[in-house]
Amino acid sequence: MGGALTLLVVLVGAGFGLSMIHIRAIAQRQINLDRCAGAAILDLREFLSKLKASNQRIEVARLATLPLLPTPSGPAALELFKQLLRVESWIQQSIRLVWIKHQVQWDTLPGLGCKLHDRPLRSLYPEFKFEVVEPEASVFETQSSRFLAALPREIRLRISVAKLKTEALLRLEQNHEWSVQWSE
Amino acid sequence: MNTRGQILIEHALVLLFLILPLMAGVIRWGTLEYHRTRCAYAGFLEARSRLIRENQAVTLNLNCGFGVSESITLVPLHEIESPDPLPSLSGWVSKASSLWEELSHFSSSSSEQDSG
Repeated sequence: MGGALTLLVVLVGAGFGLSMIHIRAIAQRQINLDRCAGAAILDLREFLSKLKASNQRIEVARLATLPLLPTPSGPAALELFKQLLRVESWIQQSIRLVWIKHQVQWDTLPGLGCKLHDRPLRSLYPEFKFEVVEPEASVFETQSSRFLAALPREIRLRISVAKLKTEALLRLEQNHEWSVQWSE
Repeated sequence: MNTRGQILIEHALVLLFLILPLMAGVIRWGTLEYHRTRCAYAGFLEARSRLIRENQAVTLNLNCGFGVSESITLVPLHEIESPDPLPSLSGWVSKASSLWEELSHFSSSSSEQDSG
């Protein structure tokens, strides 16, 4: 009788234990998934912030250069503007290269180091039309977007693993700042 | 009483005063932990849904009954400090930025000279 009772308790306990381990594993995986998407979208925001700062520097330089053009220091100012464009183009190209590196890493090392290697990660690193500044663009361009890097208004990053999924959203707000949040 | 009877009585006493209380304790502890896990998981899912819906920090103080309480806090993304994704890049981006500051300083001083 004692043996049967012990066996029953052990079996029931094992059932409870396995169930608890399962629930905790699901919760942990969901948290990791959320963290993974969150970290990636924060990375993307950093990329875009750097691009935006670069665009702003170009725009400020353009506005500062335009009134100088008719003056005797016009050619020097124009040359300075061209040099700035070359520097900013170099910066933006480099940011683009790092973006591409992250895309490749995302595909080869799922989740940029997220602790999800035990299950295949179904996700694509976000892509957007990435136009960097033209180093030879003219300060006279009426449409300033000609020499500014094109930036997206919204980026969604979806990740799913088995039956779990998460989504993070990066959006350009009215105040021209990017907001980040988890979404569904 | 023969030896067999004595063994049976000893066995029953051990069962009654040692094994049964031990098992009852283990069962109670296991059931409580299972209850806590389920309750915390349900709370986590609820907090996560609220976080997604309201996009602000969520703190849930769960009273799961049987003296079990759990607290879950989830923080929105915009409150998390952003990691620097470009550690190798940031160095020379800042160099380029300071270069640009020098250039703009030169530009502004030349415009001042012109206007002067």
